[in-house]
Amino acid sequence: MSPGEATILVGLGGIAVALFLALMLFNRHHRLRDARAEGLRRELAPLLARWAERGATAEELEWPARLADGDARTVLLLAVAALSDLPVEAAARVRHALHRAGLVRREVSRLGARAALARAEACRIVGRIGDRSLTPLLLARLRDPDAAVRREAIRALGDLGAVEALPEMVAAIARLGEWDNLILLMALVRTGPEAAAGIAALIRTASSPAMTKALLQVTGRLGVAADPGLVRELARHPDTEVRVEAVRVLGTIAPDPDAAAVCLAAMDDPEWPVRALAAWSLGRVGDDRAIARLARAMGDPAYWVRHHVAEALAALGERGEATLRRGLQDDNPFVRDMAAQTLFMRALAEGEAA
Amino acid sequence: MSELAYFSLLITGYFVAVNTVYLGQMLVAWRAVRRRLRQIALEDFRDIRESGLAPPISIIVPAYNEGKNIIESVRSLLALRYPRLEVVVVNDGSRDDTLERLVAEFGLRRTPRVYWERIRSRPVRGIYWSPAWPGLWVLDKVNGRKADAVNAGINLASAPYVCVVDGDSVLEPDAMSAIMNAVLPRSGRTVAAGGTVRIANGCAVSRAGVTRVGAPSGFLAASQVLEYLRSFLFGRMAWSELESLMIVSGAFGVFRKDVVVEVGGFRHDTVGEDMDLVVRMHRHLRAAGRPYRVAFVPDPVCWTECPETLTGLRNQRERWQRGLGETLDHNREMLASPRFGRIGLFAMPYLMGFEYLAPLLEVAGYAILPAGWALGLLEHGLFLMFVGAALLYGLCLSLATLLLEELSFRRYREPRDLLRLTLGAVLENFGLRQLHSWWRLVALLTWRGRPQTWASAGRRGFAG
Repeated sequence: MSPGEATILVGLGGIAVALFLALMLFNRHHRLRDARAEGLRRELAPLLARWAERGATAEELEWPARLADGDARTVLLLAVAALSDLPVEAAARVRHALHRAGLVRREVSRLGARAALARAEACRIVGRIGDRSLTPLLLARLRDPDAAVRREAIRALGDLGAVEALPEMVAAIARLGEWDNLILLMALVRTGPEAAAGIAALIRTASSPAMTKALLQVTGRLGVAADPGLVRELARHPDTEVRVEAVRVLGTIAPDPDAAAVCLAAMDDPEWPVRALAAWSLGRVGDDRAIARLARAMGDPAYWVRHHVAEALAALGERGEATLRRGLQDDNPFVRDMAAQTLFMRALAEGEAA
Repeated sequence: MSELAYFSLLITGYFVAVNTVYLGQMLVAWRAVRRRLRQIALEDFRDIRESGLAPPISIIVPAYNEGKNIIESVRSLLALRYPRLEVVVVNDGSRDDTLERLVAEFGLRRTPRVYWERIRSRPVRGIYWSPAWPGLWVLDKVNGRKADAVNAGINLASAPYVCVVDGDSVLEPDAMSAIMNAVLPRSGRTVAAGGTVRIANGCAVSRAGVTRVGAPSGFLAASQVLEYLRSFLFGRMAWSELESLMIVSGAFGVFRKDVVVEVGGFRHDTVGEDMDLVVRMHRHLRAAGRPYRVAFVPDPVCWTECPETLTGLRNQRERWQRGLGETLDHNREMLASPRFGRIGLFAMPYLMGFEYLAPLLEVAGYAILPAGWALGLLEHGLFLMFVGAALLYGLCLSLATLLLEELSFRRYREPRDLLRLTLGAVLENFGLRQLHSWWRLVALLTWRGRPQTWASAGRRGFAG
């Protein structure tokens, strides 16, 4: 074997040994880190219980204040994870203790860190702390040069339920051009039903069908539309996806006496998703004047329209069920099958099946 | 230069090329995994669970003679922490008591549910449901193999996303939230996403899922643990990063149902239906000029059993090789075609050269180089260097995979598990790799003339 060949083998052998040693050393390091975190958790648990019950004493705050940065973050994360299980007042006492111990301040200072990843992580943790007074700090991060930080700031504002930040959150999503990013839309939903008025105002000024659709999705999940007239108007929008969402919203928002008429008109839409959602909404709106139109739609060529029509009829009480039973004798086998399915499933669900 | 010298050069060139590709994959994957880790470090999926905006998912479980595992598997799926799930079990004409067990365990009733055959499938014998488990449907049909079963499940599915899970697999409770957490930021574009499949042999499995992770004590299973880690953490991660992922595992993958229906569902005439579907999705969407994404997400995990007998392993490897051959054959017009962008110019040639045809060169190398050395036609030092470098390079890749696992997901926490896997990485070079190459070569040369079956991989089952 030439010296060159031997060098290659020795080199590869050396790399293998180095990788193995690194593997075992990292494993040891991680196990020690886990043990350290477990120790911190054990030490924190009784403190958290006391803080939740009656707030922290100055003595109790000495221990977290003395911790090194890494341990302080571990403790903060453990405390924040526990917050969601606590009653509101107890959670407020724990938050106050975290502030006084300087743990929140340390994390907030990372919002201005050089590394974008650190800023993004800090946004996430600050959001989880759940302290609305931190909203302005997160609002500032909506203009961060890094897109990942802006996304995390939007999510964190959602965690805080920062309804006052809604226009800035929506503007930040628009700048990112991510109207199909459902994780960001979820943050808007998490600001709560008080956001309905703000969302309606933003829909009015929406700059694209994608934005309108996204904000309608949020409205639907909030279950409240501050301006039902606007939603009804959008049920006639030239964009199919906007019409679909608008019709869906009509079935989810609080009863709107004029919704049924709009949904009935949407039953004649050329696009089947609009007709299917219109039928679904008619079932939820609960206006039995829709029965005649729904009966006609039982033979719709689209499966999902037939499905939602049958479900809607079943939801519309005795007259709707009678229409379904008549469907069992229909000449159209698609009508018969869907009527049979719906009636059987209803009966089975109600424990009445033979 | 003699023929043997030319051949040595060819083998060396192939060896250098394939290992350079692996090294490149490793570097790309390392970066991508670390980035993903930072993204998920603080994730609790609260938005997905609480916002009500998470799209519904239908989980399709094709089951053929899965009586041993099916109840555990379905229970683990029903326990997944995701807000809007529907589980559709498709009993593909099992000859065991799969259907009877399901009916008895969940109190199912036969229903007149309408079956809309958007994708052709073998006849359906019955559809079962119970008000006690409103999210569970069981479809009983005539046997038609896995692809047919999945297609029937897709026909019954009501959600816009379908997730295909093998009947002998167990998902981690957060797996669905984790995979959707990666899909939803680009919900309009992501048409398929796959999670990591890990080996459950050596782990403790209960109704709650995998309760204790451990490396298997058997060498055959330990070497497969490593192989899956290399394949998922390095291979798929890297291809996903390069936007050229060609396979989403049939054991755990999420697909947009409308796109699956557009391409005609899973093909019946291939045993590699999971890869074939993804390749056809690429072909269809690229031909239509539609923007899309096929993603690999490393953190959601599906645990599955691997074969622990040589016969079971051989059946599995022959099936994989055959599936690859069939996929390449069905989609041959994509190979080296600029019309399909990086898929045609990059991913398909890789599959052909470094996956499908690899056993030809590997087996030839295993046979001819030692023969040449024994006959004195190949220089002793060169031969030893070649064999030694091949072994050591393979070992380095396996150790780098274990190191990445330790620095990222850390499922194997005990030093004894890491030592077992390291030992497996050393020992697999002495016989097992050669056997793999041989089985794949046999499959490569004979698959066209052999019938397709749901061949058993000889698994033992979680319940026992």
